[in-house]
This record gives sequence, structure tokens and C-alpha cells, in this order.
Amino acid sequence: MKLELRLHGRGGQGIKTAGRVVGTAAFHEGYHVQDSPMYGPERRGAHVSSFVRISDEQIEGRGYIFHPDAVVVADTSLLETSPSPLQGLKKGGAIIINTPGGVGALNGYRVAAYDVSSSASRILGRRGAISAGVGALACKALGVAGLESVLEAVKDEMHELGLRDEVVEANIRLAEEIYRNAPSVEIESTTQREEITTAKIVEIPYLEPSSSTSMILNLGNSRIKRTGAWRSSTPVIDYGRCTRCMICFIYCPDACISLDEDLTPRIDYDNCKGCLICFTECPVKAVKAEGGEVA
Amino acid sequence: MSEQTSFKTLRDTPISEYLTPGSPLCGGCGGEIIVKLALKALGPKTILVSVPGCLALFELYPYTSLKTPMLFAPFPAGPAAAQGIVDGIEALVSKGRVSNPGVKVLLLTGDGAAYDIGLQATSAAIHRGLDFYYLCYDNEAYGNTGFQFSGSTPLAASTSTTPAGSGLRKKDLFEIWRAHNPPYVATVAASRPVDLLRKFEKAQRFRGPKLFIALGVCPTGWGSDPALTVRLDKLAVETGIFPLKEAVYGRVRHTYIPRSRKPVEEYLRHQRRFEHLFKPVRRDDLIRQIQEDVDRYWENVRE
Repeated sequence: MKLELRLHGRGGQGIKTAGRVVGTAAFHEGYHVQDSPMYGPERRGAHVSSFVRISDEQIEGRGYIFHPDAVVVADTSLLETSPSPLQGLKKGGAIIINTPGGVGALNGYRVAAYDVSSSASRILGRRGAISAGVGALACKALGVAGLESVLEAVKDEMHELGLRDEVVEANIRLAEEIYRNAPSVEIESTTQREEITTAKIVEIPYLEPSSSTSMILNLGNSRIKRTGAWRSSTPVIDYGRCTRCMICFIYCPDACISLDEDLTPRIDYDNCKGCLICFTECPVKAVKAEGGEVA
Repeated sequence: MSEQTSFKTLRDTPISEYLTPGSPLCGGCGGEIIVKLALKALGPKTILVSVPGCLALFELYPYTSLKTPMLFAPFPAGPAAAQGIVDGIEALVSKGRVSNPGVKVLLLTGDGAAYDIGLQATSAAIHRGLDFYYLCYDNEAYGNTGFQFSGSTPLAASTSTTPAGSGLRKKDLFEIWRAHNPPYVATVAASRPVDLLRKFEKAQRFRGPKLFIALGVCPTGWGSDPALTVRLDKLAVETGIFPLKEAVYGRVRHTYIPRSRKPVEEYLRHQRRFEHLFKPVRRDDLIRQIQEDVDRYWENVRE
């Protein structure tokens, strides 16, 4: 067997650790294994990925996986982002996805779907860090490791994170529940060429250092990045109560709240990351938080 | 205070914005609020210099969240790069290519560069009397690389390299800088924007190094709720852990003295990096030690 797996999620979900759980579990099964996270700005809420190679022979490949046999998507909203988590996924490959709804097929790929977040919410009391669940789901769906190896891997990796014993125990229960109930998925072929999906990563050709030093000849263009996709809850201003005191405008870290001439605040929902400082700081409680949990 | 200022209340906060939405920084970043406010006081003719650190990500090719230019320099070389810009502008002026540019150079570093890696170059720049602004946003660890211990990590704080809590106290960078006798050193906090704006306004009167330390509340590294960033900042000030002060040519004045200091516990309790002080067993010894450090500091402060 030769399997290249790429995991996608949002910073804070534990995608790096999920990759480690899969790697360690497959290692316990006797495979050659390699796992690594993408090094980069792993910010809470941002698109984060990690990679696992599993093989019954020695692994020669190194580095990022551009043409995986399977992808794991821990947050469905990532499917709408660019570059897409499905980019480079081989034809006949599989998608393993954390979603409450059943999914038959996606872009012609086979899908194994399971609602990891709800199980985590019930067992861990939170929907955020779901590395054990995602790891167990991937192991079950792809059949790379048995239950015992998975639970051992979860235990190892959770201890390595320095979690308290009761949290480790809860994660093991989560992994077990998911492993017992999640579906499997067959990968058809690992040799066919990749199918090109939506967006392409921009390839930058080689240039002399003098002209290739990255220079941004623009000011304030980050607006088009639309970090609004990071948001799990949304602040909404009740203009009837708002006293135009400017406090939300002053404290919004991302300058996502601007003021009209009469000091009425407006939120840039394309980019608001949903930190909810405006919700906490509004002195007259004119900012409501909608959707998602609020601490 | 009878000092002249155009910032009397929150309402005087300039409406102009020099940051744009869409930065790759974490939601609820305290350092970002500081820079946003500092730029409001310094104005559009500001050139930023940054070194590796979270806030260098204001520019992440091919995007920038700044409406002012920024130069990215190696980790220990921020003050040297700032010197280059200051000298370059001076050269343009002396050649008659520009007149009265009125440009301010603002060096932006985290605590890693300010307390450790760039300390030597900073010392030299202050020594040379470089006419620049230095803003250290202090999130008390190397936040951008996974929250490792830095010279600024406070006692008992858990970082990825001191998982059981740091055994060392934070360096006193304010005093290190002040010992060089620069014209202006100040601490600023996001939760007191008027104080922050006034200090950046006041600094503009001086020629030479103008240095600022800001508490950069870090939800990701500290393990705090992003929505509580400003609350935590406020608690740091009200517990006396982060004193607001300034020093003009070495003379220290506290710009805010919390009348009845809250117990440090109220600040520590909201952060996962101090969780081990409360469970599984309460570490009264360490909490008391942190409280005593704060009390001892304020004993020596006169109104």
C-alpha cells in the first residue's frame, strides 16, 4: 500500500495533531509513516493543513503533498475557499469530511462523512479542538489502522500535548465512538493523474534576486483576502440602541468597523474575523453575537 | 495634567484609519489594536520597519494591511534598518531632492526582538541618538513561532518551552532603555486609548529615540478568549501588573495609578498559560509571589 493523505481544517481544530494521530496509528500497525504540518501562519481560524504518507515500503518522498490519494476536510466552509482543499486530489481518490449532513459524492469523488463536531461537543464539551476525532475518522475511513492502534495513538499524542488525564480520557472516548460508527471509503486508484479542480496556486517563475525580492507595490490591499471566512460567530449592531460612542471602532483590531459621518459604525463582514471584542466592550450592549458559541 | 493635547476624550480619536481589514493576524489580536491607534496619532507620513514577529505579517506577500510603507528587516537588525531609512531621507534633503519631508520612522518589533535578539542594535541606536520611534508589542513570548519562552515571559507563565511555567522573572526593558537616557520612553495599553494617543503625540516633540512598550494581549498564546482581549488588557493595568508610565530624559512619571489595585489573580485566571496556578491544585505560593512582586513595585511609586 502507498497512501498520501492531506488534512485540512482551521487553526485551533488540531489538524497538525490529527495528522500525527493518523501517522502514529499507522506506525503501530507496522507501516512506514511520515507526517508533517504545513509550516506557515497557523492562526486560529485560518486554513491549516498537514500531511501523512503511509506505505508498506520505505518512503522516498519528502515535503508537501500536492496530489493526495485522499483529503480530510475538518470544516466544510473550507470547500468554498481558494485554493480549495480538493486541489490536486487524484481521480478516484476519496474525501473524508466532518459534516452533520450525509454526503454521497462531492465533485465526483467518493465521500466518507461523519459529524465529528457534534460528537466532540457531547463528549469533550467543545466543538473546537477535534484532532482525536478527525484522526480516528481518517483511520477508520481509509482502513489504515485498527481500533487499538488508533486509541494508543490518541493517548500518545494527547499526552504529548500536555493535556490533563481526564481530557486525554475524553479524547480516547471520542476517538473510539467515531471509529466504531464512522463509514469506510474505498480509494479507486492511486496511479491516475490528478484532476484539476477550481483555483490554481500561482506559480512564480525564477528571477534574479535583484528583481525577485518580494515587494508589495500597493497599500492596504489585504481587504480582498476576505478573512470573514474565519468567523464562527457574527457581531450584529442594533442601531436603535447604539449611542455612536466609537468604542467598537476604537477596539476593532482589524479596522473592520468604520464610521459614517454621523459616527454610525459599519462592520465589514467580508473581513470580520468574529473576535467579538465589540460584543464584549459595547457599553450599552448594542452589539449582539449571532451563530456559534459565545463565551 | 496641564499639558497641551488634542486628545482629551475617546471622542478625539482620529477617524482616519491606516490599517485595512484582512490581515493574517489572529482574531482578537491585542498588538494590532496598539498599532492601529499608534498610527492614528503618528499620521500618514510614517514609514514602518518590522522584523520577524507576528506583526510583520501586516505584510504577507502579495498583500499588505497597511496604508503606509513598511520595510522588513532581519531579526536583530530593526534599529539598523530604521537608521538606514532616516539617513536616506536626510541624504535626499541635503541633495535638495525633497524639502521638509516630515516623515516619521516607526520600528515595530515583538518582545523577542526587543528584549533578546535586537537588544544590542537598539542599545546602539539609542546611543547614537537615532531620531525614530520604537514600538515593542509585548506578548511575553515568541508568539509567531509557537509561543516559546522569551526574555519577557513573566514568572510562572507556561510557554511551549516552559510547559510547567517559567521560573524566571521578566526583564525590565523600560529600565534598560531608560538607562540609555533617551528623550522619551513610555508604556502604553490598548485599553487606555487616550493615554496611548497622548503619549505618541507628546513623543513628537522630541528629537531622538522615542521608545514604547505596549502590552500585546495574545489570545492564541495566552489561551484567552479573543473577545476578552481588551478586558484582559484593562485587568493588567488595574491589577498593577502593567504600569502605565513615561520617562522624559530619564524622569519617570506614572500616567495612571490604579487607586485600589485588583488582586493579580483576576488577571491570571482568564489565561490558560496560568491555568496550572489554579488546578489541579491551587498554587498559592506562586500567586502570592506574583502579587508580592507587583506590590513591591508600587510601594516605590510616588504620586
